[in-house]
Amino acid sequence: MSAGREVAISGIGLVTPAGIGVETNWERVRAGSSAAARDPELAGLTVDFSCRVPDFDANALLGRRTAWRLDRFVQLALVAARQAVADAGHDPATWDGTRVGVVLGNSLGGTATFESQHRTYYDGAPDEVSALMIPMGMVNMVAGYVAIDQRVHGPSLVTATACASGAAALGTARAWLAADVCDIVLAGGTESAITPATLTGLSRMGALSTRRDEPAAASRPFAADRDGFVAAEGAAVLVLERAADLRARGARGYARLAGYGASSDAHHATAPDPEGRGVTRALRTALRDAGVAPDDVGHVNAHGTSTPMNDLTEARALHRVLGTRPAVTSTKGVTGHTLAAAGAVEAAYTALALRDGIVPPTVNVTTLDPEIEIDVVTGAARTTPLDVAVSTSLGFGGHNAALVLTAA
Amino acid sequence: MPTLAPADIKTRLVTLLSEKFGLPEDEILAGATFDELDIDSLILVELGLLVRKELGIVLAEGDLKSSFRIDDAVAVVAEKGGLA
Repeated sequence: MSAGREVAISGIGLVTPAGIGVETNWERVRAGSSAAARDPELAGLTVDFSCRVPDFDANALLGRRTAWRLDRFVQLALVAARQAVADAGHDPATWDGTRVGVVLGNSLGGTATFESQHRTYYDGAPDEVSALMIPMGMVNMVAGYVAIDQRVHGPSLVTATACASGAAALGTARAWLAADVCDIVLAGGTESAITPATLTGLSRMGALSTRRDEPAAASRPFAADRDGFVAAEGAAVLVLERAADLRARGARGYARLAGYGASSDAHHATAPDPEGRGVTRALRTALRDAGVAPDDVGHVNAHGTSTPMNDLTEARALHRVLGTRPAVTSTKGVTGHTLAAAGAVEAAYTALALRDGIVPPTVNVTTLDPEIEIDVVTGAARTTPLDVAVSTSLGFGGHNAALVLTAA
Repeated sequence: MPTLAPADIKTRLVTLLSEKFGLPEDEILAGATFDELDIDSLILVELGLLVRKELGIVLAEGDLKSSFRIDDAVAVVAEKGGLA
């Protein structure tokens, strides 16, 4: 990408288990304080804990008139989008919306809406099924609602590559800017699917940690005794625009989104390729796209879900491509796994790491998996100058994505 | 179900619109149209459902229109409920 096509991250909105707002998130992630807790809605289930967004009051944040019509996965994204646009210093009332796009990752859609309406239907009351079930539940509606709310008239899209959806959205946004389809893109991801039925499905897959007695210690990426991920909800929206446009406004932004790579394992529906060949290819593609060498990479915000398979596979790929130099972390120890939002949430944390020269810790790791040969930052955050960082995402379906970010 | 007077229907409808749809009572009472209150055709279906569940009055699809103001809706509900 030529210098004139450099893409900058000019604004960030975060609504995650680590809090609402950029600095609230960053403080908690840097401090390494887990957000997992027992979840009253999951009482009686095998896995009865999760990571929810603390104190998210949709009525207060969006107004009751808007909030009641939206499933929570849209509510989270709408708040994150508003934050991000304001943070970037834009005003949708005055921008040329035809040059603005929105692309957001989502995976499971309005699960709570669908589940409650299915119950109404199967309980014998089809004439009480809500006319809003479909528009509340469809995955694409989050892009539609953000477009309405932010006066976006350029392309809008929802990417659905499971837990790589958020990263895919950022990669798509970068392509739109490079192709001059847009001047500004709101890119990110959202997920809110912590319902008893969805959690039961994930639990039946064996994907979730069963550490019921100590929820806050359950998500322990790369630890020898990790046993699964902790389900989380959240949304992140990043405002992307050409760095030259940002400079013309006298701004610098958080970081550059310098490269993107994607690949497919074509191996198994849910298990990653054990050798991590897919994520290796995605990573190499992203580095080439960014024009940086593996040795330039100082930090990786890994997918690191805390499942036995993901973390070993991913660590092998990271070691193969980047060696032992980068300071690797998985912030999922704090946030849990926000599924389709994860790639965007973690891209935001990666941008903040570049801004501040701070790598947040991977929490709950008392003993690192001896088979893992990368430099995992455990204990406390590490301060180190950073120029180039990577964020990786792997999704059910064998979707792999890697983002390369560089300092602003 | 006890018989409702039109004035009761108005009170109940305003309360429903306010509590379920988050709409300000003063805007409703000031004579805003449903359209102006962002009540689209889908939300009219929801309103019809609420009227049936809360007031026991069954409306047909299309009885409530987005061009209505609150008094128009009260008149239709009262008529359908045999109260007019």
